[in-house]
Amino acid sequence: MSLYVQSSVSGLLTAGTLTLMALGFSLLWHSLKVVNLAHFSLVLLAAYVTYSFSTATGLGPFVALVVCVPLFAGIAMAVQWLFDTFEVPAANTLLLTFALFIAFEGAISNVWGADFVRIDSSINPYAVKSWTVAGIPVPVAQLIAFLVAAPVAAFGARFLRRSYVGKALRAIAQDRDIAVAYGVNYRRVATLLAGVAGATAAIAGVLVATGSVLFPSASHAWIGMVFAVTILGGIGSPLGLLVAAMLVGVINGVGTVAVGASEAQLLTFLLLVVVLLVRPDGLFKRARA
Amino acid sequence: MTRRSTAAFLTVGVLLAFVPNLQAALGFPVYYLLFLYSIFFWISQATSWNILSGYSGYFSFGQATFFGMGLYGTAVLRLRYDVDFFLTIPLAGAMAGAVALLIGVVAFRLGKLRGEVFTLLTLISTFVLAAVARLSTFVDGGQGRAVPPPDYPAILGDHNGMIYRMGLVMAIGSLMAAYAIQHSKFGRGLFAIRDDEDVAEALGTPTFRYKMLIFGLTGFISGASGATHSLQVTYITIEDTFTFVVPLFVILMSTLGGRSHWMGPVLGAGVIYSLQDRLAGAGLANLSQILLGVILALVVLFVPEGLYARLRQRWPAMAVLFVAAAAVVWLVGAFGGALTRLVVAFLVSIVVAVVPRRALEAARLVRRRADPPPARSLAPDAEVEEQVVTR
Repeated sequence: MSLYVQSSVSGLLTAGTLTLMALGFSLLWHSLKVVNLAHFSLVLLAAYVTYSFSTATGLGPFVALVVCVPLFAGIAMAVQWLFDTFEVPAANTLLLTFALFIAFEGAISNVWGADFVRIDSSINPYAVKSWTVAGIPVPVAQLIAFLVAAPVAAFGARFLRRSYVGKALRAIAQDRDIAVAYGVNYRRVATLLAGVAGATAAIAGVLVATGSVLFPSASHAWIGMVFAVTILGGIGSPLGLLVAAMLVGVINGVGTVAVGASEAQLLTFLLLVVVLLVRPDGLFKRARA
Repeated sequence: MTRRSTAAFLTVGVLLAFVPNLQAALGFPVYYLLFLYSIFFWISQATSWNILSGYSGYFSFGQATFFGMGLYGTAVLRLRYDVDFFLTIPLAGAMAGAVALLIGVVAFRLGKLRGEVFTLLTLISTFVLAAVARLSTFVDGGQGRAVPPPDYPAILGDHNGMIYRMGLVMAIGSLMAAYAIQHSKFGRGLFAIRDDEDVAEALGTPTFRYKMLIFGLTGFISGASGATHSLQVTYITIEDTFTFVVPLFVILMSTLGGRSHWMGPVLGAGVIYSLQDRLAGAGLANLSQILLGVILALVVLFVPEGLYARLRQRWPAMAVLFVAAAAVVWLVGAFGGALTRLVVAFLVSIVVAVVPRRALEAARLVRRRADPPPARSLAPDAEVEEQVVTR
């Protein structure tokens, strides 16, 4: 029994990284209609940069945020600039991000090799440490990730509701042409959103490097999870995302103990398919009239 | 499909089927046969992708799912149930088609976002199948499967000739299907779905049925061609089967060649496979993934309508350049083997097709066009403004 409690707690905490990964992906999809597969490459690339940075400087992984956040915000904005300047039609953005995804993966395995790497535990004590709360071990790396992600998601939701840019993004999501006709500067707002998505990808990457081993195809497993979480939470809803990530995390944690790790992932996909069939707007969104 | 075009396809097929006989007479390396087989294989795969994604605008990233269903389908049927190899080709194709229909039922019913959801579902279907194959010792269990060469009728020739001819049959078959679809009411319905699905539906196109039909066919062709590919692979592993290389290749080939015409994937398969093969030959295989990804990005940005449309306008210039480049390469004696030289000459001639019209106009090589280019000849016009997204 305690094994199940323990696995649900650690599953719940994996929601942190998952939420941060999915946040940029979900918002880009919602507002700009871009299904950005390159987003996953940015997360992985940020994780590898964090690994190299920490190994080279001997500083803790979180110092790498100083490098990664501006770097990846810049890359994401450059990609968005490409979309807007070439006026790539929506359908072709899919092909373009797929192309970038493939090229990034090839670049990663050429630069860092195909083997597993992880930050040495002398620099990164968080990966192996866990606190015991009420008899349940709590992995520190995942706890940190969760404590970062939850406020970011809450802030994101509030930002979308209240701020001018948030309102502009929601207007663009509903109808881009009308939003532009009412004075929204599409390119500026889109570039800003892409930058924020890149920054969250960088934070997610740093957290991934802190908590787990890295290999060039690590991003493959994320795509399915992030897709599931995005649909379950409702596209473009940061808080829905957080709750869905917690749900998926718990299912994965408990499933791993009950039936095994690979089978638990299949369970997540099954849940995704059922939701797509029954509630395609996500678990929490009321269907729009 | 008219009687004339059927006859044309079959004639080309029959003529090409005699190439292995020439090999003995002319004495060119056996490797050329396998090289041609690989091009046939990729023509089948790219065509199978293109009849769905090129014609109807729904992008599938799950080509490896159907290809893998075909490979593992034939392996399981032969090794576990002792089914004859030639019977496993349609059976494995049907299995892959069934998987496609399952994905289609989930994605195509959605009112909005069906394009994106479809794409992501096809993408993760590959991971799901890989996970299932890894878990199930009945299918693979992570060890890989050896597929022994089958017994085959003597008319197919020696082993390499047999592989070549099987690939040829699959390629001609899928091209005939693509041609027939493109020139039918069904095909026009698919193009209408690509241009504006809601309008197509309102004007009476049975969109759901058409999408299911074409996606099932995509799965079937890819699966059948995958089953045939077991002749060449002989040892099947999960890592080499359910890999992104398959969707990358078919997407790149179709997009480079041109997605709205059946000739597009043929052209793309020829260019991309030759390039990949020569890269591997030059020991640059580990860079090819980056390079092919970058090429795809550049093609999407600069030649979105594909080479075939450009080729129709500029083929004289390309032909001249091809002959000139080939002559130069042979005279200088660079690039070793004949195959590499031909590929190099071909790539040089491709450059003409890639140059944007605006650059040619600026250089006064073509007359400036007053009005926007008329939607010319390419049966369904090479519109760039295709839209998957339905709000």
